[in-house]
Amino acid sequence: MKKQIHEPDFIGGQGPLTKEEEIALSQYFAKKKNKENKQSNTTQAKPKSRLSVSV
Amino acid sequence: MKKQQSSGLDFLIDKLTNSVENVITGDSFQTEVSLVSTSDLKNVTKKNKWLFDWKFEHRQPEREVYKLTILGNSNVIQGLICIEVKSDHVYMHLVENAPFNKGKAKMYAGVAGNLVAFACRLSFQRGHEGNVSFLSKSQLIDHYEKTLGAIHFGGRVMIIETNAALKLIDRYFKNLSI
Repeated sequence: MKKQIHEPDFIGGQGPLTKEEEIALSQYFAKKKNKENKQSNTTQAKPKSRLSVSV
Repeated sequence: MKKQQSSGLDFLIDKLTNSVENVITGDSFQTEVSLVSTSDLKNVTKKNKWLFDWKFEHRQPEREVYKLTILGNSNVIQGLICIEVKSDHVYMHLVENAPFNKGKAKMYAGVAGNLVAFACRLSFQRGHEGNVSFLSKSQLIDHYEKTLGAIHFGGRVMIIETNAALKLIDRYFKNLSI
């Protein structure tokens, strides 16, 4: 029996990104990166404060 | 137009192994992804039922075209992908299954998924956290959301973000680490 396939046969073919699309994506990825950086900084800062309390 | 960051060109991946599945027998075949050459594209023509002009894609200096082949049979192209490494993500210009891998009568399953997972893996390796973008016709947006875990970014733009990229890599590159 043939297997049920759920995947595309092709993707894209719509040409390159427009300038506006490029800018929107850049802003989105930059925002995402900033958010992640902030979160990791906050996580890293916690042990320091605990350390200072114990000292 | 944006220039590629030099950090994105520190290394080059030109081969990866993985597998596709024969739709009828269920047998798996090891595959590899490698950069195409001009001679590879000799028979990749509209006359041979390829939909897109892959020779044009290959001529674009900022784009990389890779082929997926079965290990030990590198002359038969199972599918092609054209990508461009941007400063913050990988843009997929085009992915196409070989004519005999299209539709209900396709010979091998997993070709397009493999190639998209390859783009995601490349995105991680170039420091872009698995982020991949591509353009879609409006009627295919749902399909790509379901099959690839892509998100409709807006307009005709779709993106595959870190979590969806990891899922695709896990599905198609089980034996390889990022």
